[in-house]
Amino acid sequence: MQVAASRWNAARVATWCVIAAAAVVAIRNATVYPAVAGYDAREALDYATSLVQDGRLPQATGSYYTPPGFFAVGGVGIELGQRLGLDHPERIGQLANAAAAVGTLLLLLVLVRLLWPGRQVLHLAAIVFFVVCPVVMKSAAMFHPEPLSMLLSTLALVLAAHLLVRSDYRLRVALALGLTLGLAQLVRAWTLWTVGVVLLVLAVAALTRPRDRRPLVAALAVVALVAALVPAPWYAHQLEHYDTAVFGRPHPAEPVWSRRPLGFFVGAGLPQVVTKPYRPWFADRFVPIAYTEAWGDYFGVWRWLPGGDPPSGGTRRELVTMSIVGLPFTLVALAGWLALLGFAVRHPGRSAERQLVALLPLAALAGVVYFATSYPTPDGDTVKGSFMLTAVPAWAACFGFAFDGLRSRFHRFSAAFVGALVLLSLVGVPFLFAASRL
Amino acid sequence: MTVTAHTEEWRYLRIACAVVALLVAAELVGWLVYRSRPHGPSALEQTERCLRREKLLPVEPVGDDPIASSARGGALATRVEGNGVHVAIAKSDSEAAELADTYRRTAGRRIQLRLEVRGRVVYVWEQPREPSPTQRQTMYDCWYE
Repeated sequence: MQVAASRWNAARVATWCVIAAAAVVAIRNATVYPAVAGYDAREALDYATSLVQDGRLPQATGSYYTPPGFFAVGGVGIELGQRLGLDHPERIGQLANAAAAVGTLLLLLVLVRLLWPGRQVLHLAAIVFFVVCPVVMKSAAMFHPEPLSMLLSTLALVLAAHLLVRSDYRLRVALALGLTLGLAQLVRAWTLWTVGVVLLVLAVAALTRPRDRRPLVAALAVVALVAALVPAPWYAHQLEHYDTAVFGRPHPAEPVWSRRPLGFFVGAGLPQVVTKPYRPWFADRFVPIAYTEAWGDYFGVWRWLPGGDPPSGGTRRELVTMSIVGLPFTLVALAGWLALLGFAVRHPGRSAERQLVALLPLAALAGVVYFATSYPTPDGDTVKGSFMLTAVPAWAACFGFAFDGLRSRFHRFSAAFVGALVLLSLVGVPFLFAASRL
Repeated sequence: MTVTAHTEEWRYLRIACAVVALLVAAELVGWLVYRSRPHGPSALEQTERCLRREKLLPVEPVGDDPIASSARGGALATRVEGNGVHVAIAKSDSEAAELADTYRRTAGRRIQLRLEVRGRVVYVWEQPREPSPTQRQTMYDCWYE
């Protein structure tokens, strides 16, 4: 009994050590990574500058379809950086993103503690997955809206889980949840799937918990109302100027189902997904682009730059290593997700809060597949791994669930499981450090 | 965690692990079947088509270049802004390195300026100096391996 308790304590200490180390790396990266190398960096910097200095939204140029939430924060950061005389005033916005990533990490810990109380190894595994998956550190170093949207999306999951686990249907909890979902939509349209998942899970809980039905329906109504009202001015602005409220860009006239061949959806990009995990390989395949961009640097924003020679020597070895490291993490997370999804479908009335992490990856995947199909580009640009950043905390929870389940079932190999997790993580750590020059 | 909860979780996790294993197996089998059948144009055909149709350049056999002719992926010759170039496409990175070594052994160190390896493709330029950036970019635009 004492041995088990000390293992639990060790896992708890390890969890906090990983969080502290991740915070140091994220802040260090934000201070060295060149903002102009990030995704759509020029558009993001222009948007933030003109929004704060001139009070203007971009008109059909740059990232005009992206809500202004992050750019307002980043623009104020640039203004502050200029007043402080910084050489790179955009660093303030990058530091804000690093803080958003660390905040998300803390919220993830709160979330897994709510969903699986007392399972310290599960918590540790989830935290490790989130930290080691490079798409998080990459985005956290950039001047880009994704980390802030991930923070708000995860906060919404935590609030929804709290509401369901503690049966806390007070008005202020529902208001906070609705406000968070509304603010998230003001940062990035990808958070719409978080809105959908939270509302669906609350609705399922209302249907399957007859005793709590009235307060749950009331909370659901408040959440839906506030989540719709907060971003309404932005949607109204978009509808006034463009065809749609969400992503007003022209797309091919042909039907959506015929815009991509079958191979785009089912092809794994073997063997290049491991041997050559970078552009322009498998540019017509969804899964390998999403995978290599999440676990490596497919588009050339972290270790190499597109336009010149393909990665060679040490860079190529590093990318290949990350493709291999990501494989066990991804497969275990996939197993955890399928298990939670299966449980949610078979028993919708039990552990409704776990449906939040079971449904979010599904919604994110469906959303990105739809987007990549609706707007086909020859270079795979519409399949960026960062588009699913809001789902990474849920994937991390799924990984933790499966890892702990496997470890508990094969108890004799528990040390081997933990050893493999430590080894794989250590191999992946060097890739998490941003280069100061590309 | 109770024993019942653990057993129930394991039931779903076991099925999920089996599904993941099946997915991985299906991808591997699909890949093996795919690679066992000829499909799509070869790198040489794609390079030739790109040079002719997109760059409007003449494409010819490499003629009296036995090293380029020995490339397992094929070879071709073209001319970019007056500078001739032989393109040898290897089937592997090691074959490309061997081709480049053979060129160096045969022509000596002077060929270094005119010789370039990009992935599995070996370029040997005609003029005794480095190709210009635009000449090089033209060939990179039609780089397939």
